[in-house]
Amino acid sequence: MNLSLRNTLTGLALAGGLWACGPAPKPAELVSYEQMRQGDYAQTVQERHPDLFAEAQKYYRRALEAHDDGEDERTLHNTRLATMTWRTAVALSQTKDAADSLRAADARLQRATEALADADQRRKAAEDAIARQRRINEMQAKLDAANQRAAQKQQATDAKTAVEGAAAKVQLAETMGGGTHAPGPLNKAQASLKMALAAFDKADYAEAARVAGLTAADADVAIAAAKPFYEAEEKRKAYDLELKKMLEATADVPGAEARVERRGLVVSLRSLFAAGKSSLDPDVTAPLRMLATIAKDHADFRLIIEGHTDNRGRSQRNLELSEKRAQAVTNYMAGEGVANDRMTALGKGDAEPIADNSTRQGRETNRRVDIVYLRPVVPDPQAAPAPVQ
Amino acid sequence: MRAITSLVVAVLLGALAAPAGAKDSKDPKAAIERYTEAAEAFDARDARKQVANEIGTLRAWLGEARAYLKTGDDDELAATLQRASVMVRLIDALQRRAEAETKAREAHAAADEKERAAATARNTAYELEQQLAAMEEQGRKPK
Repeated sequence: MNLSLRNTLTGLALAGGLWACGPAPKPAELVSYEQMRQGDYAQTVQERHPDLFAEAQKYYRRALEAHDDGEDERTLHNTRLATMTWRTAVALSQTKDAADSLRAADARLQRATEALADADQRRKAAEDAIARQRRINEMQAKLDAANQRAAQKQQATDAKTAVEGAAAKVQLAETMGGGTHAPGPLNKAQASLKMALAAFDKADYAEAARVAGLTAADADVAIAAAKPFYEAEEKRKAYDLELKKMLEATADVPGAEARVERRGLVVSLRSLFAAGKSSLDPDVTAPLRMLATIAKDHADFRLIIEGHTDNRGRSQRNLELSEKRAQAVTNYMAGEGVANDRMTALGKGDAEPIADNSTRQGRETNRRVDIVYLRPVVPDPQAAPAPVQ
Repeated sequence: MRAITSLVVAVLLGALAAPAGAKDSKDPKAAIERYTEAAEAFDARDARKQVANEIGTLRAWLGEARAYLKTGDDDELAATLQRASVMVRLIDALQRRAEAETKAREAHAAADEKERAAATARNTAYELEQQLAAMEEQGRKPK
């Protein structure tokens, strides 16, 4: 018999001694069993393991009976059996709880594993995308840099073009006489052109282009003001040049004497008519054909065909004869294709001699037909507004 | 080793399926031997000494049973073997519970670890996605 059992029996003996004074108190282990049976979880254990519960209760009832009978050892024995059986039921129930917990943990693990796989997949996808995006951004940066260089180059090209264009306009304005007709704008244009060139030299292309635009605008004003004068002058020069060429062309015309006067090219022909006659001699029309060709080649020039006589005979008759002769030449020229509305026939009679009528040679000189290629009238730019300041 | 001892206990418990009764009384010596083997097997399984007290009690009762066997005190022997039988069943249940709870704790710990890893991976993925969004935004910015 061990010590604890002896102590228990001693306690039971003492309790038995006191029994005469009243019901013996339940042993601590029996009370402990009853306390173990309390609570919600005890109900769960009872439902899960009804056989063990019934067995424990059987031992418990025996313990109570033994206690009531005052049989302490039997009480303790059955109490222990009840307690162990109940603890067995509790342990089995908790084993089931643990198994449930294990399943829950497995489910968590499964979910976490899937979540980890998903996250890893997202991470991998993001890493791949980042790598791609990094390459894209690097390429974009290179492209941007190239575009920027190209833009700078283009800007320089544009600025160069603008400055060159402005310089050309300034030069044109100067050539056209802008200094006379639009000194203010031209001076501004010249000054701003210097600024544009300076900006270009400093590689400040935006500023160069901007100032070149102002230069061009001022130069345009100067050009616009000077242009009518310039064009008129150019036209006059062109006509002078044309007259010179026409004069050269008349060198091949037989019997023609040509000279350039203020009104234009004057070609004098003699011996076209028999004395006192106004009909053309068919043998002498070759010069007229050539002069008609010159007239057709220079369509801007109107023609005045003037008939002249010497001073022999009556002036009125001379006038009428000269008119007829001028008309005959005009008709011939028209027949050669010169438009009638370009030509005017005039009889001058003996009113405009070019040589001395007292001599035979002088009279021969005065008997002539003058074909005048009139210098075209250039509009007078003086009618334009006053010079721009 | 653990599997073998579990198998031994299972075999023993098969023999002890019902609490001891008439069977143990017929051959108490054999019963004492079976329970002694069971105590050894329980002890071998109890690396963490979770049921050391119960095993100690079982062994003490088996010692008492041997003493009763020698003295021929059959009633005490039967009662002691009955308690030993119920204790064997209890210890087995406690060990099963302990093992199940250990497995559950380990499984939860593994799940905790996996969940932490998943959370870390999610955070990493999120940060990378944010980085990607920033890079894409950077790429879209007009230069």
